[in-house]
Amino acid sequence: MNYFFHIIIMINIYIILSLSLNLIVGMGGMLSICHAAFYGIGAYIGTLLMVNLGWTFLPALLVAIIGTAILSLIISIPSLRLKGDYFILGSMGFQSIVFILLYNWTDLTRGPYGISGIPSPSFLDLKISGLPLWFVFSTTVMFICSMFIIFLMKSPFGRTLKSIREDELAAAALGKNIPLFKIKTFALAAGFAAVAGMLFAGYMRYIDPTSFTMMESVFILSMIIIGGAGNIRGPVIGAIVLVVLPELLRFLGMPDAIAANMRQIIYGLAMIILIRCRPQGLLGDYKFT
Amino acid sequence: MLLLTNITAGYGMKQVLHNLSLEVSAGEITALIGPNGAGKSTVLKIVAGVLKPIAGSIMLDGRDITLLQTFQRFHLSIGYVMQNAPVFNSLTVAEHIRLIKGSKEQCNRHSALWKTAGVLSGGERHRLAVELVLQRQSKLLLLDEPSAGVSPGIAVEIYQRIKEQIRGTDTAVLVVEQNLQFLPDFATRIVVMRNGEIFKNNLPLDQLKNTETIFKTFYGE
Repeated sequence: MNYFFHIIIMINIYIILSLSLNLIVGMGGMLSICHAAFYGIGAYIGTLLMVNLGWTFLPALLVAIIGTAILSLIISIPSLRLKGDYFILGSMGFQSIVFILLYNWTDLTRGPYGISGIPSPSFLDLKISGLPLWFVFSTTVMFICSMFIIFLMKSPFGRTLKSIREDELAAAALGKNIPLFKIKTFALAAGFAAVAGMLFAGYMRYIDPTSFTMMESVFILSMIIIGGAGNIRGPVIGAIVLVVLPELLRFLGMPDAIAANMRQIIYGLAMIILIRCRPQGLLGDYKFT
Repeated sequence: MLLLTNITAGYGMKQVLHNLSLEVSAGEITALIGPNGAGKSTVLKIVAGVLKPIAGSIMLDGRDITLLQTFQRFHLSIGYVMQNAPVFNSLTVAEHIRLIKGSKEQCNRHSALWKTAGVLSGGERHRLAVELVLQRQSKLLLLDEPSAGVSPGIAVEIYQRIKEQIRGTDTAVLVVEQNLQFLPDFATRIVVMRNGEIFKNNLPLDQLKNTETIFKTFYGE
C-alpha cells in the first residue's frame, strides 16, 4: 500500500509540473526546456527559508511562489526577442545556469551535498508525515492547482494565449499585448512549478541539484509531448504514463541498472513513435510541427 | 485624421517605400491600387505598426503614433484586416468574437458560432476575420485585399458588410485592392501607387471602369 501511495504522490507532483508547463508549451506555443529550473528554484527558496530561518511551510511556500515567478523574468524577458529554435536554446541556457548555480553556490545551497532535514509541512496541530497523509495532502494540492489552471485555460487569458500561439501578429492586430502575456504565462507556470518543488522537498525531506537537471526538464516536456498539449487531459495522462511506465519495468524482474537505461530507451522510442504517428500526443489538441 | 509624412520603409536591405506622404480624412474611403510590389500592403503595415518605418512620421488625429506598437494602435481605434485574413484555428467563432472586449452579445451574427475556425471554409474564415475587426467602432479601418481568395459573391458581401458598419460614422478607410471592380461602389478616392511612391493621388472613380486603360497607363502592363 505504501508503494501505491508513493507512486500517487509522485504522479501528483508531476501533474502540477506538466499542467504548468502546458501553459507555456501547449497554450502559449513556446517550447521551453527549463521547467525543472523553476521546480528547483521553488524547492530551494522554500527549503532555505524553512531550514535556515525556521519558517513554517505556508509562508515559505508563498515566498517560493512569488520568488520563482519573479526569477522567471530572467528567461521570459529575453525570450521575447527569441523565436523557434533560438527560444529553445535560450531556455536550455537558463536551465544550465540554474543547475550550475545550485551545484556551485555551496555557501547557500550546500552544492552536491544537498539539503537534508527539511521539516514536514504542518498546519495548526496537524503535521503531514507518513505516506497516507502525504497522499491526501499532495492530492489536495494537485487538485487545487489543477482547478486554478483549468480556470486560467478557460478564461479570456487562456483564449488569448491560444491566439498568440497560432498567430502572434494577428493577435497583436486585435489589441493583445504579446510581450505582457508571455511574461505573465512564464510567471504563472513558474509559480506552479514552485508549488511542485515545495511538495517534492517536503515529501523527500532532502533536495540536491541532481533532481533539477536538464534531463528532468526533458522528462516533464516528454509528459506533454506523449500525453498531448493544449488541454488538461493530455498533460495529466502524460504524467501518469511516464511515472507508472518505469515502475512496470520492475515487475519484469529487470535488474535496476538495466531498468534505468531501459527507461530512457522507452521514453525516446515513445516520443519518436508519437511525433511520427500522432504529433498531438495521446490526447492533445496542439500538434508539435 | 491620418497623415503619413516622408515615410521610407522596407524589409531588411530592400527599400519598398520611398519618401511617401499621404493624408486620409475622416469619413473618407481611400483605395490604394497599383501593380504588385508597388508597396500598397507595406503602407497598411506601417500604419498598423506591424512594420516600423526607417524614416518619416505617422500622425493620427494630430498624435504622433510612429513609435507605438501594433496592439497600442488597436486601442487607438485602428482596425486592421491583414492579407489572407488570418483566424485562429483552435478557437471557436464565439471565442474569436470574445477576444474583443465587450462583444459577447453580438456573437449571434454567425450561424457557425460553435465551430472551430479550423473547419470553416475559406469564405467563412475571411468573413470572420473582417467581422472581428468590425466588432469595434474603429476611427481608421485598414483593409488589405479583403476580396483575395474568396468568390466574387462573398467579396461583395464583405464590402457590403463593411459599408453597413461605417455608414453614418466618421470612420476613415484605407483599402488595398487588386480587384478593381469592387471599388466604384465602395471607395470615395483612388490613389495609384507605383515603385513605392504615389503615382496619382486622385484618380477619378469613373476611370476604374476601364481596367485595361488603367493597367496600361498606371501599372505599366
